[in-house]
Amino acid sequence: MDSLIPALATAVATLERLAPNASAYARRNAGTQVRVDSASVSCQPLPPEAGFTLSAWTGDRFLEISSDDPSPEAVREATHRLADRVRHAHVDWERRIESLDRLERRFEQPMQHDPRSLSAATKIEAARALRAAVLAGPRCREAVGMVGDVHAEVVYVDRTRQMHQRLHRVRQVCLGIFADGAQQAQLHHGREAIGGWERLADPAAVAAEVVRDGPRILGAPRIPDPGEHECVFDGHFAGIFAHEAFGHGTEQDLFLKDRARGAEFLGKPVASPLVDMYDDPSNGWAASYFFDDEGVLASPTRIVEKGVLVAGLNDRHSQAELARRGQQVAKTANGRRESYDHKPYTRMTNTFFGPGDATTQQLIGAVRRGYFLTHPSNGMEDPKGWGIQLEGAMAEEIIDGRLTGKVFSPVVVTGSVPRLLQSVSGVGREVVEASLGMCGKGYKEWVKVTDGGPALRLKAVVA
Amino acid sequence: MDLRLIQNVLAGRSEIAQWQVTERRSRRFERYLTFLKPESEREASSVRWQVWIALPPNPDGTQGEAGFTVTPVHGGPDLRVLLDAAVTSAQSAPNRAWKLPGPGDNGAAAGWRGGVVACNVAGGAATGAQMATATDFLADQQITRDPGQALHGNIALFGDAVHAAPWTRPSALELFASIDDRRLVNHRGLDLSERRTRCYAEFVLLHRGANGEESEYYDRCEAASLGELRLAERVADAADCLRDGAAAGPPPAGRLPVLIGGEYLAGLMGWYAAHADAAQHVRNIAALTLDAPVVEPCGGDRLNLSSDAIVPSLAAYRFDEHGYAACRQDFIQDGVLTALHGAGRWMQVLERQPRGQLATLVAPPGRHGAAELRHGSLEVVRFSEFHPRHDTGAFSGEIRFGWWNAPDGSRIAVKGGSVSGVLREAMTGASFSREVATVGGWHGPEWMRMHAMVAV
Repeated sequence: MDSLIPALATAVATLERLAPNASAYARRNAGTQVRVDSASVSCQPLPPEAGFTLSAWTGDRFLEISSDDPSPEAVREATHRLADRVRHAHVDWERRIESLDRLERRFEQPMQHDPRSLSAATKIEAARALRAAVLAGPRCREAVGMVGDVHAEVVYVDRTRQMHQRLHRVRQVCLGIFADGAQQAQLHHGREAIGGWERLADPAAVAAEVVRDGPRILGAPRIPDPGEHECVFDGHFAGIFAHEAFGHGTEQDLFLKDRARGAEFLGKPVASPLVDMYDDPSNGWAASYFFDDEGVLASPTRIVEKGVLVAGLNDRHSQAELARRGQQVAKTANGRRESYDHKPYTRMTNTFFGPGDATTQQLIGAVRRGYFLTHPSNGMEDPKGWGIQLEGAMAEEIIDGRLTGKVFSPVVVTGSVPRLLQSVSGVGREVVEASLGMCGKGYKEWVKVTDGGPALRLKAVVA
Repeated sequence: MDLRLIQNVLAGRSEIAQWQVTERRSRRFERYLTFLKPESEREASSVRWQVWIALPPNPDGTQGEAGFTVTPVHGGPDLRVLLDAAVTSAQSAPNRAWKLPGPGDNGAAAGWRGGVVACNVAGGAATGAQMATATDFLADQQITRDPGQALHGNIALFGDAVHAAPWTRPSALELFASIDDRRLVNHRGLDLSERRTRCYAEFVLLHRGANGEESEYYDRCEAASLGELRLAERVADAADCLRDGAAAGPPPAGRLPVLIGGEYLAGLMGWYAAHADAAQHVRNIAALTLDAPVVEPCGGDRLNLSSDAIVPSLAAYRFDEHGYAACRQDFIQDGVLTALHGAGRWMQVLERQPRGQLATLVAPPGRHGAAELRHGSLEVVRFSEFHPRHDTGAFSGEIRFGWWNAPDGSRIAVKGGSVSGVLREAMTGASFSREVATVGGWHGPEWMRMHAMVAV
């Protein structure tokens, strides 16, 4: 990809003779995925994603062409095709997108033990160990062990920037299927981390929660008294809440479409004063990078400060367009593409609540009657209506400040984002990373994200 | 890099007992509009070859397997390196032995014959002639002829539909079309091709109610042709929901009959298809048992489900991932799991005749009209998210928009709150509509009424 930079720079220069802005993006993904269960074993290279996109901003719209052939010849051919399209488009030279500071940099995430140098047998053994750790649990009928490594090489070029980064990540995931007669329950857990094989954790530690809680949710009933309850979310459940609440709710490409109520609440309170929330592609969690897919250097964004919505997330187009409308919003490094041949949108990275000063035991101890929610599975938010839905595999009853051991499954939280956030009455001190996440824009455009937070005590409608 | 080179390299490796290559050539055309104004136009093309290999069977009945993907970036030397790595990987990955189909095998598609795939299915539904008529159902000729013009026409259609509902504002439209050519060849001489199109639309309408508050209606749909997206009709429905829903309140709480349709009904029925999959039965983790009832009937309609690859939908095909021919497979009849479906490898492990991977999920029409089913029900038009858990069939969904069709005949718009249940209980006494619809990979009743779901 490095060697493609001169060709991409030439393409940008050619296109900028015809349009106010042009840029080029190239990406190559590689890696391995290993999966072991009772009926199959596989160790396969990830389908290689390699290619580039040339982009021209006409002042009116973006015109883009993507190709899966990252060669100088293919770049030249795509430049001619895109130039031809620009020549036939309306061009408004007055609406140029402001350039970033001049920068030529190369970055690489550190990796001690490159998984690409390991044999298939070694990787399969790692997945087998994970599976065995789950199978050791009671009433486990089937278990799946998965191990993977992902390596991305990314190039961004425009008039002022020539950037190159190499990103490395490893993954461990285990799934247990627990059974008692015809009843079944399945639970998964895992982790991803930046770096190489050295970042894999002890299989027993990865499998511990599945082994502990899988049998507990087997045959567990639904919550008997659905409705609003005092709840404690563990750090992982808090994480998915952060992501859905004012992660999606502050994506500023939605502001341009009048799709986010958050636009009207910048600078206003939206949560309890105990609440701080961040998005940070530079904090070293699994969705971190050095620059986004539009060449903006990664840095943290404080979204909510002491309950006040203070900033949103943006890509370069939404930031420029909001600025053109007189809304001065800080540029953030959140322009991301699913792959080299997808459009950039404003996307989250590592999104999390900031820490408070309580222990989880103290948060639970203050609940007279309620539920402790763990093992989140997915969520959905409505940035316009501020409705939210969070789903999880387990809720444990709390009576008089103690967990009773009574477990209910599955559990769903519904309600209004600000109402939930304003009800936060306690924040834990330990921030945990839920590192397995993937996020869609609506129901597509999947990108790697993480979320996390400390445990939270709040009132929530659960069923 | 091309298919012939890959075939030649594979054929020259004596240590490989079986191989298959799937070539995929794809072109994608995308249009993005904000408030009817173009924001972005994109075109993308790609070619890739997915290679699967198996080593000779071991004495213990296993065979090593591996797969990899070749792209135009790869040259001949790269291919050899990839193949060496795959052989090494396969030696470490023993799986239960199975065989790819060849021409003339029972159930296999018979071969490339001038644009028509014929097939041999003993006593099956598919014949060469049927497939000949089916060649068109996978591809929208409007798109294959001129994708740019086809998208342009549907954007105009969208604009007209929005203008017909002046109480709305068209926040966003994303409209995509793709043309995908798939060719499958294997070591036994199968050589099959198909062309298909896919279309995707996602739009958001806004409406400011009398209380000054603006709300949105988000909708998305995917189909094999632009016509099947029914974009204008969807916009009209969305506009009506926005107008009527401006004053929507919370739904009634308690145990209520709930009416669902579209993608949500398809998702629930998909749970049955997933647990009738041979792969689940091989692993002994299927929630359904062969020859046993899948639902306890209690006054509702009997459940019947089939997989039918020649019923048009996004899941229809001319040949499956390993070259088995399109055909119909009934697997739930009168509420009893009577057969399994699934990929050839798992059907072979279970010593059953492979008849193609899951295709269009088909159910017959129900006995009741939609109007009859609506009466006295909470009708959910849109959930935030709604799908059953794979293990237990439990489901929950926050209501984005719906109707409370009160027993006295009044119809009140509702939003907020949620519906929860477990599939096994929900299906007891469930009734299907006479009206049918195709949604994604589902073709069957448009609506289902479930009795006594929990609404909060």
